Amino acid sequence: MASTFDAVIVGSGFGGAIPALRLAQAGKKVLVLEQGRVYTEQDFKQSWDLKYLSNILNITTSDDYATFFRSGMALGGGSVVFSGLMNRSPSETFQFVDDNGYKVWPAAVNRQVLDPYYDMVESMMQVRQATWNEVSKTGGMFAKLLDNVGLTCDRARFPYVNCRQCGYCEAGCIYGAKQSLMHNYIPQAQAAGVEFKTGCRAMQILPAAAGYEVQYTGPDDTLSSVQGTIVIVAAGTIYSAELLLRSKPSLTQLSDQVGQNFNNNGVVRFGIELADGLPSIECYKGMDSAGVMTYAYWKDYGITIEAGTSPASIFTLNIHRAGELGWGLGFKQWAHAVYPSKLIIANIMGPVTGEGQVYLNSNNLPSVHFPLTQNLSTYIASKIAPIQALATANNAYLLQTMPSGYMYSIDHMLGTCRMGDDPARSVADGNGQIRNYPGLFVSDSSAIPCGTGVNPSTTIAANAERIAQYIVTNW
Amino acid sequence: MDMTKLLDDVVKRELNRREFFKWIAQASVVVSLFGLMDQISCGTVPKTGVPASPYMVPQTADEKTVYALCDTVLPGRTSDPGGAPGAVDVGTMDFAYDKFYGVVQELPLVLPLFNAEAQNQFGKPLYELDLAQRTAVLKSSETMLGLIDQIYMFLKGPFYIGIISTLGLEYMGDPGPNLGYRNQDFSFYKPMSNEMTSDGNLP
Ligand SMILES: Cc1cc2nc3c(=O)[nH]c(=O)nc-3n(C[C@H](O)[C@H](O)[C@H](O)COP(=O)(O)OP(=O)(O)OC[C@H]3O[C@@H](n4cnc5c(N)ncnc54)[C@H](O)[C@@H]3O)c2cc1C
Ligand code: SF4
Repeated sequence: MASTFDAVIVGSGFGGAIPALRLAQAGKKVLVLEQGRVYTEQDFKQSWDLKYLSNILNITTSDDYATFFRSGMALGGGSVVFSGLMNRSPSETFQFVDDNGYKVWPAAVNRQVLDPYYDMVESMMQVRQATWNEVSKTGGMFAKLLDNVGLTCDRARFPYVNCRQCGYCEAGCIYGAKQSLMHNYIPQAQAAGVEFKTGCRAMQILPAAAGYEVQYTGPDDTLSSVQGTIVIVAAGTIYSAELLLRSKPSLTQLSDQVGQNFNNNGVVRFGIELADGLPSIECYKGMDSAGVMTYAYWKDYGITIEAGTSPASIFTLNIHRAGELGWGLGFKQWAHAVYPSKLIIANIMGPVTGEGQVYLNSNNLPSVHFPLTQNLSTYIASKIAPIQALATANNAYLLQTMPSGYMYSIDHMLGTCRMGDDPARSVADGNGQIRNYPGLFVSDSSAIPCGTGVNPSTTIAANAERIAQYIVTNW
Repeated sequence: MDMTKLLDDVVKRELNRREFFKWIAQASVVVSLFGLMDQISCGTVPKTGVPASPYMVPQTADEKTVYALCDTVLPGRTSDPGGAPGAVDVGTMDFAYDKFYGVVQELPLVLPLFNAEAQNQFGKPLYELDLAQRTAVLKSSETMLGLIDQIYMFLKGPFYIGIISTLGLEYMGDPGPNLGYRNQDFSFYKPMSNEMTSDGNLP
């Protein structure tokens, strides 16, 4: 007989840990299944070795191998490995109409509605704007490039306390400065009685007498099951879709939109090689983010840019001047000349139409179909154009980040189980409740219908707070 | 993957040489990446241990070709006129042959193709050519081999990421693991920036 809970939550990232705490505080008996393990400051390493990172990160490629996707895989999910940028989505984000003429956000969700939830998240995670003394030289230089052409650059917001600027945020913070979910929501949830089962991977959801049954494999690979009156799917964009797709034979009324509308938060990664004669920016010094972002292109281009996404050394792998080889003696000498003194790496972000897809491949594992479509190419070209102008005005080179162009994804996957007002175009309603399945919710990045305009975690977290409140009030 | 069958199929389909190069490279990289990704997502890390030092010395023709490939993608001390370190000096061979990383598990099939191109251009296998000749071979192969960029990326990884040795990072001027740079002067250029928001968030 499967043990029974008021709520079973799959995943312990922003979408899972937050409802876990709020439901437990409301007196519910909550279980969280998390496939990753528990990692503390003592377990982290200042290392980019894939063998180490594979313990805390899921890394997968698109089915055409053109791009990579990384997501957190530990208690605390992406919060353990993220770069810590936590800005709110600008109001206009929620009005975005996609290339198909569809206003993707539910009418009930907008910035005003989310603001109180953003407040809760920021207070829990101690999010604050960086001081100028926390902005690295890379960030300062990026701000200067913008200032040279009369554009603004703002200090970004982070959940960091006593940060040492060591630059290994994405490998897990050994100094405990990053206030990941392991520092706030998760310990508070544990104190409120939530049971966290780590090393447990949910495989399938089935209808049960009083709610749903979740089948999962434990650390020893044995199959077990639990029941929940409420089940919240929060395994991240790729894996929430995987779980629901695998559950389709038993949840036959699931929307055919599950797995569709995958988008990359409009991320386009580019590099800038600074002009000669400027002081060295020593790009490895500082947090993984350079501490700044610009809204200067928001109004006209619908994008923001975060500078200094690290580890810069890793991205040196692919960065090169357009038309020149990304390997060979010339490349090695060029990379040596620009790193670490004159190389800035940055991400464009903006709302985009979700054209990708997560599906189960012949091995019953998730695959991501994310081709460089005509729309995506047009998006990239139109958003890169002003950056080219910025580089030219500063006598700098705009650098490509893929052999044949610009890297167009990596960490900000969204949309595969999106909320929405149109049942034909969304998996869940505006409260994150999956259509045709009362008590089955989605509360993570997969529920976010399009790009958030900025780094997505704060909006994912605020939306999870909102959905948790709906559940507490109505269930 | 049944390579014999694949080769049979290729012959049957009478692909021309260019298509064959591209197709076979894709198949190989796909398989090796699958191997890598499978292991990563399952979290199974074979305990292969720290590679012996000095790094793997190529013995077989295939190993020599991989070595030549590494040494062309990022020329090492003996090939770089300035004597600067490169891929082979940071254990890239060990990285490539490590089961976990899966880089060349399936590549032996592609290697003869590099050698064929080398023979075609210079009458010798890749590993008997000098840096300029090897660079020419890789340049022409690049247009023929699909997904070659991924191979290059993997071969550049150990140098720029410091996976096995930090020599590459040191050469680049990156100190790697550290106690932090809190005492640095981070006020560089900051007063010259104008902000649009009062707290970092747009309304
Ligand atoms: C390296 C990196 C840097 C990033 N930097 C930033 C940044 O600076 N700012 C920002 O806003 N965003 C950043 N992001 C993105 C951000 O981390 C994600 O958008 C966010 O974590 C998504 O939250 P989530 O709750 O949807 O999923 P996650 O945080 O990914 O949590 C999902 C959890 O579910 C678990 N899981 C998956 N499948 C199953 C299953 N079947 N059973 C049980 N458990 C399962 C996973 O192990 C994981 O712990 C970064 C991401 C990465 C990888
Ligand atoms: S830069 Fe700061 S937050 Fe990031 S790992 Fe170092 S101490 Fe931690």
